[in-house]
Amino acid sequence: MSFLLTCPHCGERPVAEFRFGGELRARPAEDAPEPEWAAYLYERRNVDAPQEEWWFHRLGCRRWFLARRDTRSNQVLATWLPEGPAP
Amino acid sequence: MSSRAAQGARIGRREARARFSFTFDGRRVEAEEADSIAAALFASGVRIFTRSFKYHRPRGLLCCAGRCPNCLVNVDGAPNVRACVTPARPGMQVRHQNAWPSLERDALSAAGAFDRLLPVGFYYKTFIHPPGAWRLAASAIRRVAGLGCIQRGGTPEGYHHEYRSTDVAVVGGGPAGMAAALAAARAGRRVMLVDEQEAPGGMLRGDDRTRVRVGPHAGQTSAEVAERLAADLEAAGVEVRTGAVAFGLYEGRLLGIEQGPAAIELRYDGLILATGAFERPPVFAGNDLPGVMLGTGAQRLLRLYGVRPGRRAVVVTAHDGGLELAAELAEAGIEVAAVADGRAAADHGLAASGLADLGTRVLGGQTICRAVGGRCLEAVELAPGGGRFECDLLCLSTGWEPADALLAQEAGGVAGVGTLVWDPAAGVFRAGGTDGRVMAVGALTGAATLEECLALGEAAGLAAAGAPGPSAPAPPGAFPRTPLICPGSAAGRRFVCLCEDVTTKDIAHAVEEGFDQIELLKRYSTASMGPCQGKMCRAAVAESLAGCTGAPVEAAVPSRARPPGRPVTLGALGAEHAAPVRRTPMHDRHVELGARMTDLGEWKRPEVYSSVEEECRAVREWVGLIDVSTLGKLEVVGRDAGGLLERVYTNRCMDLGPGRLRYAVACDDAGIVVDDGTITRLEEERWFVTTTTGGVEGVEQSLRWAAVPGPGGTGACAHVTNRTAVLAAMNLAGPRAREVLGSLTDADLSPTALPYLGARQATVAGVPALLLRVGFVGELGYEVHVPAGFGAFVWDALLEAGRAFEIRPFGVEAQRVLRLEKGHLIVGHDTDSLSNPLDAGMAWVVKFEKADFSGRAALLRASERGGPQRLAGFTVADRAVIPEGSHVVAAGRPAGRVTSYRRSPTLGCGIGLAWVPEADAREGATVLVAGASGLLSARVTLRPFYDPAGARARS
Amino acid sequence: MNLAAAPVALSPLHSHWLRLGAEMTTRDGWQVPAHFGSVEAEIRAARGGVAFGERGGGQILEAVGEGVPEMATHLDVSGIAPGAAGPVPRERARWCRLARDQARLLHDRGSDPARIGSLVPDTDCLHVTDLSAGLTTFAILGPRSPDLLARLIRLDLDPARFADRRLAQTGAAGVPVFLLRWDRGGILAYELAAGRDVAVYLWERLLHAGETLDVAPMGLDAMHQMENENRPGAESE
Repeated sequence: MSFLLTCPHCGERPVAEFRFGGELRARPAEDAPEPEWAAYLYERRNVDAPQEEWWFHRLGCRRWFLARRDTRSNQVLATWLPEGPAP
Repeated sequence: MSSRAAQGARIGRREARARFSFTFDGRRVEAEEADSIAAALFASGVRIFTRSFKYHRPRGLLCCAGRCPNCLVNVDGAPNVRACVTPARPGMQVRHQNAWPSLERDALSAAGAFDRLLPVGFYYKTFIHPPGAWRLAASAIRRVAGLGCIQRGGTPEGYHHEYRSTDVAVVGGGPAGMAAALAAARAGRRVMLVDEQEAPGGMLRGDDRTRVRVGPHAGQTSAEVAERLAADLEAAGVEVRTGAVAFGLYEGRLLGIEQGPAAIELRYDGLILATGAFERPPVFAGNDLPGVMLGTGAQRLLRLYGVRPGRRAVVVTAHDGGLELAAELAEAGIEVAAVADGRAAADHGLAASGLADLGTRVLGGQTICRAVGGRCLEAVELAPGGGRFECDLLCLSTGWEPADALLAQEAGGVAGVGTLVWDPAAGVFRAGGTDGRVMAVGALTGAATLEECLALGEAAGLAAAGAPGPSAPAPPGAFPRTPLICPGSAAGRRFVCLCEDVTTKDIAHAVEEGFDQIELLKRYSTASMGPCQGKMCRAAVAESLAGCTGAPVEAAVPSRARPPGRPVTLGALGAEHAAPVRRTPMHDRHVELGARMTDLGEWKRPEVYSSVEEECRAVREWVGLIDVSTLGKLEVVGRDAGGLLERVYTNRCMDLGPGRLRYAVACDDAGIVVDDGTITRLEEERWFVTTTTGGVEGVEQSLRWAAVPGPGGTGACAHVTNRTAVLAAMNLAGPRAREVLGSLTDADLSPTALPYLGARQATVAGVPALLLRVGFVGELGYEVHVPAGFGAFVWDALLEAGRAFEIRPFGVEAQRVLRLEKGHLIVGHDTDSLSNPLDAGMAWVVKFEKADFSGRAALLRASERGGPQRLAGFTVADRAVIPEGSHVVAAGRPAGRVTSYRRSPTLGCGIGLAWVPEADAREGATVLVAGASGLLSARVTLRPFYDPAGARARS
Repeated sequence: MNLAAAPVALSPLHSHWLRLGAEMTTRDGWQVPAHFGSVEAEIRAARGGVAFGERGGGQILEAVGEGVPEMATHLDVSGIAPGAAGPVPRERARWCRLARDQARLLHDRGSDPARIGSLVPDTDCLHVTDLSAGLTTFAILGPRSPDLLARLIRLDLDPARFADRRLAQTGAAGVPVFLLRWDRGGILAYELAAGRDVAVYLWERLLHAGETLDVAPMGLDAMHQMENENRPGAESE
């Protein structure tokens, strides 16, 4: 793996500086039915298409941000801060 | 006659070349400046350079361009060095490979006589019976298999990684590559040109025969053009990396390059591949004899090193280039016995008439059918007609193949990028398209003439620079194409793959056995899986497969090419050293005190100073000091900091007053314990969190995750700072700890002023310190945090002050024993990825009454259901041996496991923690543990082994 | 041991300096190497190739939060964009803007902790932490410093791209570092700060990376001498 990610704070960096944080998913409400929690905890969509996901800039600003990455080519199509609108 | 050519313009520099010597198998070899190892060896009479992989057949120079496997040698201990492209250096020690006792007489060449015993895919079907035969055979095979020997012990110096960036990267320093680099640089871009030879120029180097007909370089010879362009590159500021092999295209616009001891990761915006083309060797009987050479190989020896590749030559060709080669050989004083041209005589160009003037016969419609010789080439037989010519050199110039090792990696089929497609006109596979950042130019795309290469290169360079220029590059020319598998049924092996010694017969056998698809055939016969990775044989394998099956050649689509496209030195690849070692501020003190150091994650920690028993006793009876700087330390500050901590940790902390602290456990959303530590409220909005040694990164990420604002939100006002390296920490523990610490501070340490689980700022030995009263080891204890620079100073002060109280430094092993006596678990050691705090006996840290926190939903369900096992303490008789990980056995089946076990010096028996069946997790129950010497009866306890009431830590 | 003695702070590389034969001196309560034999030779090495050493003392404050822009205004450094650094007017300090809501204030010589209060405006959600004790800063000087750094850091350090007074948080040999370019006396100069716990490791990686670049260790005397040769009119320190 050697693809590049553009950290919203630090700019374009090699993926080795980051930690992958998984698919972007909504955390169920605490009283949500058990199957919903089970799906959240143990199931992944694992798509072969552009996917929205979390990244953490471990060797940089140490912030969480979001990226849209094509899982087939590892091309990162966009990155943004969680509070900002997704481009 | 000497091998060194004595005349000719290209050799005119010879007199000026400095001379030196190196050794080959201990023998002295004379070399001239700028010689490659192979050139110097060839000039000194060496013809056999290596022995083949399987049959140990003698092999000599073939490509002279670093592609084929025929000249791999050991240089100063480094195996598999390509002699033909590695410059000779004075004093270097070169040794042969894959032959014993010598290249001339190789005992293992007898293998060739037993090839019936070594059929294609023999390792899949021999030595299967009797049972165990393979084990014996494998060890024998391993001794003779493989190429080269790795130098053991000692790390050669100088290997390193380099990270570079450029706007435009150009691979290949031939005319197209140089023109492209120049155009891009002149358009204002930063350009790096990568070429594997010692100077740029590619095929132009040393060529003073070909003259440019049109364009800015009209009238100049190829060699002059190369020199001019090289000077222009320098003037334009192009960074030229010579002796550099580009071996891989990686995602993220990354080009992998090996240059000497450096592995370079080059990031580019645009990439121009101008890797050229190389000659494809035809397959005929005896085609691996030393003396059989590619036409370009012979040319390189002659042009670059002034070394005659032979005395009497036969040239086999199918295009005018071969005829020109024959003339060049003749001019260099080599007798050309015959030229076999696969074309009919009527198709021969002007070059043929030139040859006729030199008195050389051109045989139209003829090709090679057999090479004859013992160790080296002695004669060739042509077909049809069976003409036989004595010679010691056979030059093969029958057609070209694009050097697409890199391009084929790009054309790997990922989104937006094309795949390899068959070009029927050229009879080759080409990259069907690229993603726009990668362009291919020059001979790689079929351009044949120098003028074409220069024009295409310039256009590509301008395009890569985003500058205006001629838009649509000219359509690629066609590669001359001839059948690769020569006709005739002459006796002698016909090698399709030289690296792996695979013959046409092997291919036929494999196809007969059903391996008739290219991918299957490749894996079964190992053809194209050797050092050259198919560069010499891919087309020949496809053609011989087609010959066997009758399917068209284009059905044999090449496999996906993956990096590395060329062999790369492991030393260079492995030179990236990213294994951090972390040391505490008191590290030097531990070493001076004679501690045995141990690795805990990235940290170095003292395992034991003197003896574990003595260290334990000191803590229990007097006082001990341990370096706990490796604890993760986080400062969490802000209005919302407390709320943030309550979301990540299972217990409460908002109810703590300033100056109070609490043990805390963090879970993930599945309710699994991920870390534990303490939370101290320093001030109303300022918190100090300690984590486990390895857990700080995860906890910090979790806290930052919990603080992430939602879409459109502004985020919590809570900030996390990692202060692990800022603070040195030590734990002063034992009944006399208060007296020791009291002698270094004016602060009131009385139990009322600083009670158990209290915290305060104080000055210790003149250094500002944070004191936390904690009891991990179960005694009166102070965790002293001071600025890291003063760590050693305060450590010294505490040891000095404690001398009157028999103080001892203690290591992590004593700490493990002491905490086990208290029944304290270690996250990740006594818990795993299935352990929740309820089953681990810590239900009291989970506060369901507070608002949502990480793991709440899962833990609620777990609390309703209960788990199958509980973490409990157990005791066994003294001196029992129970390795950690041993089974807890119930009804003859594994029903749990031991996570910690030590002999307790305080209690005089064996104590441990184990996951036991839920039903057995009660005070006084008996379980069976599978110890080192059989089943042992263990008594379960749910209370600490030592001081169950915890009075000592509170004292 | 004399407990009345003033506390002495030690660099994580203290024993390495002693092994290298450094002449030690005390600056701002820190034991630091003054030189490794010859100040002149160290300066020569820096001018001709690359030299590096530890920058001792000084204070590093980190400011985070929504109040950081206000602090920038307060210090009159709001013109310094994220990713850049510059001197703080009227202070012996440099302002490094890491992000909109994150900055570092570098006091290069021993500074009065009491002054910190006056530098931090009273504003909502602004948190200032003293990281001085946790960071070890290496100074890397000389025309070949980018070549040395290119063996450890995956950033485009071409001097034309990573210009004077640019900064980055990135990784070097697998550990997080803070890199600042701040040229000295007209020659390329970088400051590389990393966690004190990995200082020895990073020093060893720098030495290894410099094996074929003729690197020389450098003491504080040479460093200060070169800093004082700074271009006339430079405001800092």
